[in-house]
Amino acid sequence: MDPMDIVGKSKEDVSLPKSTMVKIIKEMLPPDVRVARDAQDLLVECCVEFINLLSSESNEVCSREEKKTIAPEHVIKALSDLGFREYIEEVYAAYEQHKLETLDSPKAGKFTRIEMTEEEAVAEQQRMFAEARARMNNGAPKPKEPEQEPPQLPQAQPQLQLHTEPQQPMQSQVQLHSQTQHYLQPQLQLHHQPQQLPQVQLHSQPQLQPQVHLHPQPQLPPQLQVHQQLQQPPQVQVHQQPEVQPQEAQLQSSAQQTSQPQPQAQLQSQGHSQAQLQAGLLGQLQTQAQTGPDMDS
Amino acid sequence: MAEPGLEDSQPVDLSKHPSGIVPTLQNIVSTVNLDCKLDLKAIALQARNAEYNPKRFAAVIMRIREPKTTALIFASGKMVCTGAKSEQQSKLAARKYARIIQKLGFPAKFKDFKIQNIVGSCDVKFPIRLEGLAYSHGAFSSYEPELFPGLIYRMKQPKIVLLIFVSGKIVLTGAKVREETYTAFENIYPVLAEFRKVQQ
Repeated sequence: MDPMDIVGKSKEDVSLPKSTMVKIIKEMLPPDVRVARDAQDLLVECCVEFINLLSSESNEVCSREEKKTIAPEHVIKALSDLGFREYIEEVYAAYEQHKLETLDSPKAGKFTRIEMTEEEAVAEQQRMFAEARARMNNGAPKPKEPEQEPPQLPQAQPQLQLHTEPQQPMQSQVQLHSQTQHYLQPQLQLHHQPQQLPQVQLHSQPQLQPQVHLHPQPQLPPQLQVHQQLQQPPQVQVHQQPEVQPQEAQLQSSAQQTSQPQPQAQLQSQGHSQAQLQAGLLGQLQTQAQTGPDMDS
Repeated sequence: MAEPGLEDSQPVDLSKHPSGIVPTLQNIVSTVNLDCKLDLKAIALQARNAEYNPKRFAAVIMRIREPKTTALIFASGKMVCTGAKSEQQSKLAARKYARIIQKLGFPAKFKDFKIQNIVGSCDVKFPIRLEGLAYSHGAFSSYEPELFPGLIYRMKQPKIVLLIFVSGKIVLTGAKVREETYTAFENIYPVLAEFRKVQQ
């Protein structure tokens, strides 16, 4: 008969870890004493049988008390019933030590720590919430205003464009763009425009010496704009500003003083002669001067 | 979890929600008494959407698609309904289960319907120093990162348990009415802001 059948165990059943058992055995023996492998196995089997016996008796004690969970007290009572009274003192000491060790562990029960009364806990928590709320409200940083990016300048296109900018009081201007193949000379213009980084605007203009035009606008920082309006030949887009006679200059200045802010009209001409353009411009300026500030152009 | 943008899609009443964040309800658990003894085996055999394994659990598990919920139906006639996203949905689902039981030939009533638990969640959109929070609110906090990555905060008034995660995600459970969930979050939000993790 297989010796394993005596203890009612099969080889597949769980057992105590042999390496741990060997360590425990060696701790209790002098260093020069060796334990045979068969003796180690026998001790393991004896321990398993002892655990089975104690578990069975503890279960009976628990059942007699009509409980569903085996408690440490049931195990101690089972030891007494089985005749292992001499072990009880050491087992109880180990149990007390175990309770002390598990007191601070994460898996300890909810109410192991000494706590304040329920009313005190509620009051303390409410006070902490109120303090945190006060700190948050007092030290709340102002929300950062989103940085406004400088607006992109619109590219000049070969067609009539009306730019209406009601927030910028602009003087009425007529700019003629002529697409001609001339030697281009840069012209520096100073514009007062809002929320733009300083830039230098270069307007290439044919048959004119470089000039500086100041367009003052109230409450706006002065900025230089560089704007090279060049297209690939044979079509080069330029600002055509005709030579103005002294009378025409006076008319232009008076028209700009009297007229209301009006949208810019950019007239695009292709293939017209310079004289025709000058005549058309002069006619428009005279019309503006006659109409006065009350008329809408 | 609900869609991330769901909370922000509708305007938030700042008088009720000063934080500007409204916790989203994720689950409602309710109970009702059908007030009659039930033959669970007969129910399991007749109903298609029911499962019953008495060795595993002593109740019939029944499901419906709309509202998407699960019910535990006990032989005593007591029923637990879970999975609804709102109180109205939970009550409607419980009524549907009661109607199914009636159609199977039992004189089921609809007594003592009660919401037992409301689970909500939200995202404060900033990381949180859980160690500092656990230390400062030690009497109410449990933080064991080796066991569970979230901090368990037990609020006394209203009696709500919060799971606070380092990511800024919050789970609130234990409420009987949704206002308790909202109040609990408004209470804890200044504390979370205080322990906001500063990114290097």
